[in-house]
Amino acid sequence: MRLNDESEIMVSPASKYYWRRLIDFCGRHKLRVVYLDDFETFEKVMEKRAEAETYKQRLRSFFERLESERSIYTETNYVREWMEAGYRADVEAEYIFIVGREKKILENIQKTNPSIVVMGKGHGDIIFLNRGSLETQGISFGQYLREIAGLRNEEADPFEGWTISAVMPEFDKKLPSFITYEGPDPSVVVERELLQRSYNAVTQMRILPERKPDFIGTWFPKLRSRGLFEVYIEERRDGGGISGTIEDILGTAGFEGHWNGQKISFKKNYDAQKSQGQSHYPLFYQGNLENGTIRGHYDFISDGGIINYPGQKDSFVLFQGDQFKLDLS
Amino acid sequence: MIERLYGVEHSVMFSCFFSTEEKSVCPSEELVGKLSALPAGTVVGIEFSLEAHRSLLIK
Repeated sequence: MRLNDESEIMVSPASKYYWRRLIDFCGRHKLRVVYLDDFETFEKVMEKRAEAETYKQRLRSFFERLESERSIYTETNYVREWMEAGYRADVEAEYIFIVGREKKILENIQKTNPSIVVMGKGHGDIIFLNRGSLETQGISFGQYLREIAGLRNEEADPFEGWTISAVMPEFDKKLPSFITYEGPDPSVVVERELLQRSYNAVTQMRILPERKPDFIGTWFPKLRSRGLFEVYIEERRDGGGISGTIEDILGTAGFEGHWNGQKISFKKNYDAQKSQGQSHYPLFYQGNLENGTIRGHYDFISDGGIINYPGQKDSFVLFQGDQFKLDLS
Repeated sequence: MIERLYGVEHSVMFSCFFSTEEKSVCPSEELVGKLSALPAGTVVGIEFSLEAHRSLLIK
C-alpha cells in the first residue's frame, strides 16, 4: 500500500477529514461502505491538468525570454494557440472532474445498489434535480436531505472578526447544521450550467449548440472561447431597434440596442439569477461591420451613464449567424 | 431504490479580505444520528474512492 500522490491532489485534506470521519463512523456501526468515486477518472483529470500546465509553461518561458531579451511582444499565432490549448485543457479537466466523475458515480450506484448515498451537494443537487430521467436507468431516490456547513441561525455569528485565525478555531469546533431538502441550491444549478457552456465553447465553439443565434462573437479576442457569446434577438423595432438575450460562459444577459446592417450598439445587463461572478455594471458595446466582421469595443457604465472603464479598441468581434470564424487576424 | 440521498458540504471555503482558506468540517449530528439508527450491514455509498481511502490509512 502506498500513498497515492494523485489522490492527495484530487481530494483536499479538508475533504478527506470529513470523509474519514464518516467512513470511521460507518465502520464502528457495522455499516457496509461502498466507494462510488472512480480513480481512473481522477487520472484522466490529472492528465488534462498536466496538458494545461505544459502550455502555461511554454507561455511563461516565452515571456521570460522576451523580458530577458528586452524584446517587444507582438501577438503571434502560436502564442494564441498555446493560450487556447491551455485554457481548453483546463476546462476539459474541470468538466471531467465534475461531470465525468458524476457519470461514474451513477454507474457505481447502479452496480452497488446502496440504500443510503452521501455525496457532495454539487452532485447531490444536480442528481436529485435530474431524478426523473435517472429512473429510466433504474436509479430512484426517496428522500433528499441537504447538509449545510455552519452554525445554526440562533447561534452567534462566528465570522465576526478581522482575521481568519481569529474566528476559525471557534468555527472548527462546531458541527455543521442540517436541514431537510428545500430544493436545489440555485447557485449549484447555475454553476453546472456555466461549466457546460465553457465546455461547449472549447469543444464546439458554441454556447448553446441546440439553438441558432443571430450573432456569435467574443469579448476576449486573445482567448476567443473564454469570451465567446451568442446574441439572440427576440424583438425588432422600426428604425433598427433590437432587444433580446446574450448567452456566454458567465451567464445570461438581457440587451437592448440598434443594428442597421452596418453599425451595432447595445447595452447588456447580466441577469443575477442566471449568472455568476459578473459585473454589476451594465456594459455598452458598439462596433462596425468591415469585411464580414463586426469589430468594436465595450465599456462598463455606471447607473448615471458615465463610462467607468473605457474599453480598448477591438475589444470584441462579432459575426452574423452561428458560425465563428476561427481565422481571425 | 436509494432510500435517502444526502447532499453534504465536506469542506468550506472561508474568505476573509484577501485570503481564502479551505476548512475542515465534520458530518452533522443529524447525519450520524440517522446512520447510527440503520441496521448493521446496510450499504452506504459515499463519494470517495477506495484509492483515496487507502491513502488515508497510512496517514
